[in-house]
Amino acid sequence: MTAGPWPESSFPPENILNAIADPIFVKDRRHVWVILNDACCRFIGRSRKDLIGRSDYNVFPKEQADVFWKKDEEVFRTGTENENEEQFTDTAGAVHTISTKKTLYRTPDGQEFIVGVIRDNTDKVRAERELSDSRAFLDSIIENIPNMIFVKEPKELRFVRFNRAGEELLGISRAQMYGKNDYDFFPRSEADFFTAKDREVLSGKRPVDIPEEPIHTHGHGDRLLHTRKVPVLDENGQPLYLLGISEDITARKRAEEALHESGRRFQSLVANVPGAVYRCANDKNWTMEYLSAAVEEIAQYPPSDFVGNRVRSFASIIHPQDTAAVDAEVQRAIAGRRPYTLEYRVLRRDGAVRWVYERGQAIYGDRGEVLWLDGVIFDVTDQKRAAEALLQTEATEARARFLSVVSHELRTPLQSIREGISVVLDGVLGKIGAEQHESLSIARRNVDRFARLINGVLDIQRLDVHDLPFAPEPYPADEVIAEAVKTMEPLARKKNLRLESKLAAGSSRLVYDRDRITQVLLNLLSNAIKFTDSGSVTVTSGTAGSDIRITVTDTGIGIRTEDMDKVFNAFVQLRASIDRSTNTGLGLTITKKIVEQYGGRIEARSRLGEGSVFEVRLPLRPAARTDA
Amino acid sequence: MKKILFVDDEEDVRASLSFRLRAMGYDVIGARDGREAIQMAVAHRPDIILMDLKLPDIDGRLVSRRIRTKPGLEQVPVIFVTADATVRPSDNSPLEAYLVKPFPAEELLVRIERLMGQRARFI
Repeated sequence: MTAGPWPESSFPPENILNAIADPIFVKDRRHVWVILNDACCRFIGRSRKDLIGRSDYNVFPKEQADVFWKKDEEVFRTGTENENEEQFTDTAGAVHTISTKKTLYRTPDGQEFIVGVIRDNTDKVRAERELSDSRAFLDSIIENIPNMIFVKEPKELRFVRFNRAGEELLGISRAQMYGKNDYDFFPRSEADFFTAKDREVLSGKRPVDIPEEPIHTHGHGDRLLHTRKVPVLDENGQPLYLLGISEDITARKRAEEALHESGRRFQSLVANVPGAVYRCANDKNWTMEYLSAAVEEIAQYPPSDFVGNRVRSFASIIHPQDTAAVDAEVQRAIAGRRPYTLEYRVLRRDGAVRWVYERGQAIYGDRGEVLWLDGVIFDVTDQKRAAEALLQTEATEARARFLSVVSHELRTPLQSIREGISVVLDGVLGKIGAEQHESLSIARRNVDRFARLINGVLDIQRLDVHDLPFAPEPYPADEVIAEAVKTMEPLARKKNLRLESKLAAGSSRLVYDRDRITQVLLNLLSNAIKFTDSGSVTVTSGTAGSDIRITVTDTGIGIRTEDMDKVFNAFVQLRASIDRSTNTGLGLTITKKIVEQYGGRIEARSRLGEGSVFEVRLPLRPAARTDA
Repeated sequence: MKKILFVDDEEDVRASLSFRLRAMGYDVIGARDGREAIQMAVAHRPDIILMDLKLPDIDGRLVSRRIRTKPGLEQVPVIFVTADATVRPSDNSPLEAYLVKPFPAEELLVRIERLMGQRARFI
């Protein structure tokens, strides 16, 4: 097959075709190349000489050549031009995406040719794909980011882009959103605000941050957003779009408010707790990170003194004797992962020692380390004193009960012993001799002394524990004194002593238990008689201010000055010459207790060898009573 | 012969005092507890009763009250004996007296005579 005549005049000269950068070729009706410009030869990778007079089948693989052949035939048959994107592998093996525009050219004498112009689109297609890829990437980010993202056009601020998080938050689909603006969805006041911000961003060409932006949503009611609006500008710096990114901070804000509120509540709670609340380090100073104001009531130091050991450490006010125990218990509690309770003393600013009760626990970090210690300290000094007093009272009462039982159990056998002795001594069972009589007398005297001791001890116990009764009716003071004197007369007479009374209390009446007052008087009188061998015992009464004053004066052996303060002590026998068998040593102790229980005073004055004076003063109107 | 009912769960106390009481011419009968005391009182009609306050079964005061409900015993004098020094007479009945152990026998005899005299006035 030979190439037909080339109608040279119908085509531009070769040098013009070669000046065109796009590959151009002309095929005749047999699909044989008749013209190729330089660009086309370069594109195919063969010299013109190799290509002129040949067809696609001489150059390309059959499948490719078939495609080209078919396209050519379509143009010949229909007479219309076509443009096809085709894959093409060059001689170097590189794949190109080409677009070939094929046109039918018919010469005036009826010959048909195909004119092809090839455009190599490889770079353009790659750029397009890359753009498309990066768009997909961006879309994916925008769609999946948990923040609302919206894009508005700059003129009427209509939405052009909206993401899934936005749809979810506002409860509006993007289909509803596109082409509309804020006024279509939000209350006027809100839309005004959004729009004003948008304008600010677009005119200022600067991003604007709106830290808290309230918005009414369809999906989730009233929310609070943190929104950032950014202008997207073209290369001339003119706004293309407005980009907005909003984070829903409602929950965070609520949490912050709750935290704030709970902080306020904590403060108020701490202020009202009757103890000092603290947070301190587990160090030797108990370095305070926080200490509530109540510590000032306990220690008289302001809390700021202790925070960071600014002025003094908390450890420095713990009683030195308690420091080690406090530390040991806290460390034991930490080791056992349990709270600790402490009771120790603190030294107050004024030097007073206060007892405190403390309860706390360690707060641990992720690795089990102690972050700090949290707890409360209460001043329990008063409770502790009350508890100690109660314990003491209980102990005293228990002792009193014990003594009461014991003395009761002692008395009954004593009865039989005394009567057993007496019945013989008194000759009931027959006459006895002088020595037997004396021996049994000693025995009986000591039984009686034993009984008095029991009574005395019991009496002291009772006076320590119980309040003394008052008389149902006040009685004349002088009357009870006269009775006591009368009772003691036989004893005085036996010792040849004058027992005198000068009673001048007049109409003064006593409200104290009559038996107890009698006991006081008899004790003082018998004491005076006992220690006086000659002379007199004198009783006087009178009023002194709001007191009644009773004195018992004797002319007896007296008391040494250095012994005066021991006179009222139990079991003290100052006068060895006196027969101990008749004296319990408890009389004055009991007397003093009775007088003092009734709010009175007793005093002794004496000079050795010259006698003694015992003076009792009792208030006529007892302080504790308000009876008329 | 005047009859004394001595109520005390301590045999020794009864025995030791009985020597003197018998020597003084009293007929002494004994009872160990409240129940026995009531039986003896009804059976023997004592002229006076010596009664320990703390008996093994019934409180001495209650025993005396029960005895006084029996015919012919309404005015029987009772001397209460106790080892508890804190006990105080519950009333000032002229037919009652209290003695705290240990007491001298003389004191007991004085009380017995005084109460018997009181009783004579009532009868």
